[in-house]
Amino acid sequence: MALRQLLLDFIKRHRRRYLLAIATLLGVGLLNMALPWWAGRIIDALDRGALAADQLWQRAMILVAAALAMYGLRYLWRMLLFGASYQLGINLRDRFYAKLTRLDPGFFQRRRSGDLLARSTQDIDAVEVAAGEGVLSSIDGALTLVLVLAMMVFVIDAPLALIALVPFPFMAWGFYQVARRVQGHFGDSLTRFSELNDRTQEAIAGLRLLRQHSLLEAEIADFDRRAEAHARAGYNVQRMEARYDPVVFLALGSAMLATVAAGSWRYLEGAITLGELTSFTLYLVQLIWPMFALGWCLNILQRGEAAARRLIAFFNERETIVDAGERDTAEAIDLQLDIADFTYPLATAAALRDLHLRLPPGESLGVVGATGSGKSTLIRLLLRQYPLEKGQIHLGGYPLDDYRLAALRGMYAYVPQDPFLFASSLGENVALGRPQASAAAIVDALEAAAFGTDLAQLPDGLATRIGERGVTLSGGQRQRVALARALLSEAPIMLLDDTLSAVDQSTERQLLETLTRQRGRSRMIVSHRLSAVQQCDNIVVLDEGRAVEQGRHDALLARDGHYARLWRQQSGEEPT
Amino acid sequence: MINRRLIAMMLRPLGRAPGRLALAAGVLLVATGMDVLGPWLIKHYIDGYLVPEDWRLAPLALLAGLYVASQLIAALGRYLQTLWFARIALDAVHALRQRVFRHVMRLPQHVIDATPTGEMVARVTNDTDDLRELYVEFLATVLQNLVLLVAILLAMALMDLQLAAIAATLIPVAAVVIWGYQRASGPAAMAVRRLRADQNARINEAIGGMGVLQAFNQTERFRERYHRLNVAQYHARLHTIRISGLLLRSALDLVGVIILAALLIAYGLDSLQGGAEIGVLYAFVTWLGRVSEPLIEITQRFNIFQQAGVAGNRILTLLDRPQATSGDDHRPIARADYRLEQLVFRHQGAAANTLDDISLDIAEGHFLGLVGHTGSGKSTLLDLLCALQPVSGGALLFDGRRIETLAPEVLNAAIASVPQEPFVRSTTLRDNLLMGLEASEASIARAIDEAQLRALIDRLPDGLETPLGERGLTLSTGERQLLALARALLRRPRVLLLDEATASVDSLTEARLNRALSTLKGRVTMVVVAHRLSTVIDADAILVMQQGRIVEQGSHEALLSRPDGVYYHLWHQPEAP
Repeated sequence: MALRQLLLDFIKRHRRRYLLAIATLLGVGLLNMALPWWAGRIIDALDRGALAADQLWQRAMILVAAALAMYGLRYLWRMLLFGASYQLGINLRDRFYAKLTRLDPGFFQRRRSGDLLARSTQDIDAVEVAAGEGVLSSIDGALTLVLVLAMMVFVIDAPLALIALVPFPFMAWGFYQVARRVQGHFGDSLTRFSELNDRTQEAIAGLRLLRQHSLLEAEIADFDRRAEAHARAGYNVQRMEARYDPVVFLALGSAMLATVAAGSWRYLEGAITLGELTSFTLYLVQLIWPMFALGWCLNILQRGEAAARRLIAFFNERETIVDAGERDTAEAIDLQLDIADFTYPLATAAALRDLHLRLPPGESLGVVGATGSGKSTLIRLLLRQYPLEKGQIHLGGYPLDDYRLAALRGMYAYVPQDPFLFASSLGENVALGRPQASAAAIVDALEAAAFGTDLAQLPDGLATRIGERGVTLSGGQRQRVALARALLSEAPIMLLDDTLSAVDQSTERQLLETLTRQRGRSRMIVSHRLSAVQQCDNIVVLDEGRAVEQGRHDALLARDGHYARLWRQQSGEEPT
Repeated sequence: MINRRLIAMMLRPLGRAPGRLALAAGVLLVATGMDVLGPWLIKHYIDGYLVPEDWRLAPLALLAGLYVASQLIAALGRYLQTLWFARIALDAVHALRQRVFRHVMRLPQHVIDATPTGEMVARVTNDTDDLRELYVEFLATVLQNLVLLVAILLAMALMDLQLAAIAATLIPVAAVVIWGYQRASGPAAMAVRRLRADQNARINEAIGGMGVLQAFNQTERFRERYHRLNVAQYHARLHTIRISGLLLRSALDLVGVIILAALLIAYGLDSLQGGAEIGVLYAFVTWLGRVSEPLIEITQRFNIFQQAGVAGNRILTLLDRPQATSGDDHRPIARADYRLEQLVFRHQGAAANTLDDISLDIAEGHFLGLVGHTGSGKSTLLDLLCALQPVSGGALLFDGRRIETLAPEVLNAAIASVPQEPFVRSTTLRDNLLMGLEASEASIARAIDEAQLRALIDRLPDGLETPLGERGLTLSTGERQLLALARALLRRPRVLLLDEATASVDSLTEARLNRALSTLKGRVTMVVVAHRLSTVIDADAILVMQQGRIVEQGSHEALLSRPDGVYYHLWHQPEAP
């Protein structure tokens, strides 16, 4: 049903292309019938000795001309049909990506990335195959079957056809049985392969760990076991596939025997000629494909159906963030947060409670607290990554929801706690928010983010590829690149989520200087180290989602409360 | 691309079962012979019995019996030989895959560190899988079809030499078509694969980085980029369809019909002079119908050859890399002390030494702090101390013996290390702690308490049995560091190596950890890399490293008493404005 939903809509829109493809297939089918028939006619004429040399040449040339026409038509239907199914692939992939862009972080946290990737590749492939090979095998298979049967029954000889065709239903049944089992074993083999792959990945990534715990031999033994299981699954696939051959041989062999026996009888009766008998055997061979197509097509459609169901479930995934605002600009970059209660979906305890904060234009706000106190949540709410139901955040006097999502996002330069870098060049990564930025501006931003020394050590400077197939950056380096990204962006509000945690002291100082130079931009600095927020215009201390203290560094120290205790703790290990 | 070494590597596992290989080949020959016999028998029947209307029962029954028997034997033979060849092929790949994995597991750590994990995994699994396809397809399909092709041509030649010569022109013509297809489809298929990999990479980054894309308002731009990639891949795939549509099945079928026409003409001209048997034509037409299929099968497998050639060469290159050596001195460790004498370390292929002229004594039970900027060689030194990397020059003695002569089991039992970014295996929390060790519940509980891991475990519904990793719970970096610490403490090591092991732990927990670690002082030799000087204030000695050399060493107080020293400078860095 799901597959029909995806396919019918598409086929309707590409009706002409599909109709043309079917017409071409029909043409090919007809020619395919004509060829053996014509060859049989030539043989008969030769047998009767009724053919002169020039007539022979002429008739043979007609044969060749028909073959040429078939060649052209075959090319045409392939392009039409596969072109259409690949077009469907583009549509589905685009739709998939567009859906991804509308989903919230909560969704990505709930879902395993491998599973999503599989949907975007295997599932879309399966639907594509259903739209291409599936349509082909069902229509062409049926066409061939009807045409061949018509030729056998009406043109050659009905009694002969009835006798010779007896083994074919068995062949179709055999094919279907084999295909079903092959499918089962094939799925098993894929699972084993992916298990083997996962385990190998883990062994190699964790090789240090294995070495240091003398676990190499145990790991090798485990690998052998998994590889063995994969080999066995692969053998089962081969074993099943090998059964196709006997099915064809037994069915076709008995059909041949029946043809020759019944054909002799009809020949002696004078009902058919030897040429017709030859044509008939050629038609018999052509019946293999429809028998095979039947099982194949069922299989493809089944797989396509399962894939389509998963895809549609994904397309219908609820989008928690509604983009219904109309505002494009803020009159003042003035943030006012009034959060009565915010609880993550599926969580039981509130992450933030009874929180009232203001970040006036151009000022800096430090947010400190222990892990799990709700610091990052604050930033996530500002970014509208999660809907806030109890409470309201105002920007320039209007609720965040009043702004268009793109406009709102355009106001932030965000440095996440665990920065994500894209597998492209360093320069492109930094210029993410401002793709047109000049190289000089990018380098400036990197230097301001204390990445200057690191940049000098990279083999190709800004053009150095990072990620998978390039240079791997350390956690601290990634954070500084992400900071450069935010510095380069001209957004008026900077949001820093524990950006200074993985850097050494001197780098931390350098970065704090850079941030102080960003006057004119509002800054929210989240940190578990107080040294990072010491200079802020206002500091809020969070504890289990509540603001327990608020004020400037000196005032908070003077209060001798939570902040002062934390400060003593951290400066006990930290010189000031 | 296909060279002698590659062929030798591929043939080696096959040679292990010569009997089975010969048997399978024998069955293949018999089955093909029986297969080709069918049309010949029918021809014999048409010309010998049907046309002359000779209805003697005995020879006819014999013919029918022969026909049935030949088809049965062909069917059974086909099945068996496919089965045997598949087994041979899969066993061969299994052996090869084990060999590659073993080799990877024994490569020096620096090779592993320098290669992206995905690439190494691809060598073990994907590349060997390409070879599997080659083995299976070659043995099961290509060989079978080649033999069939030869058998059909042979049978034709036996029946009628002149007509067989005409049919045989199919071979050179097909060769040209295949060659053309090959030339065109190789690059086209490569382009499709490359674009496919790009698509996957883009989807992957969209899944991993969507939060960032959204925050930076770049979703539209990236969506547009992905669309362009999809369109490019569409055109690339359509191109492969065009090539196969022009050059593969349709072309070979066309050639088949042209040859059929030629056969009819040749036979016809012959029969105009009288004397040709009609049954010959029957047999030829039947056989001809079966010739194009093997050719198509073989052609389609050529891509696999190419792919397997590339994969095989990559595997060869990997197998050429020397394995790490390990010592075999199994005598237990008497004293957990180190002596470094003018130690030098240089990364493979690097221009400069990562560690240069390091001389140092670490007495048993001492606490040594290592400080210095990123890239000064601190982590590398730790790798040498646990023998993960070999010394390039000078000497590194552990317990008075050269560390490279000690057996890994002996070293691993004595030394535990906690890296900055600890690795977590996809198994339960308990297995992650034990890592193959046997320990009592009490000692597990003690290690958990010491490493401040109790709070985390109490929060988990399944406690120690909670599965971790990709399919289980994801731990934060800080939690992973605590886990690694517990893992190390559980082993009651003689030496503990910590590499900024608490960098991502919050300050309260860190203070508690430091108290727990200080109880080990004097009993366990500790080497601690720190980016916060406060972590190593209590060390017996602190080494200040710069560009692979020791520039200062001494206790915290001694180092601070040198106002022109690096340590002094680090300590008194100007306050942030």
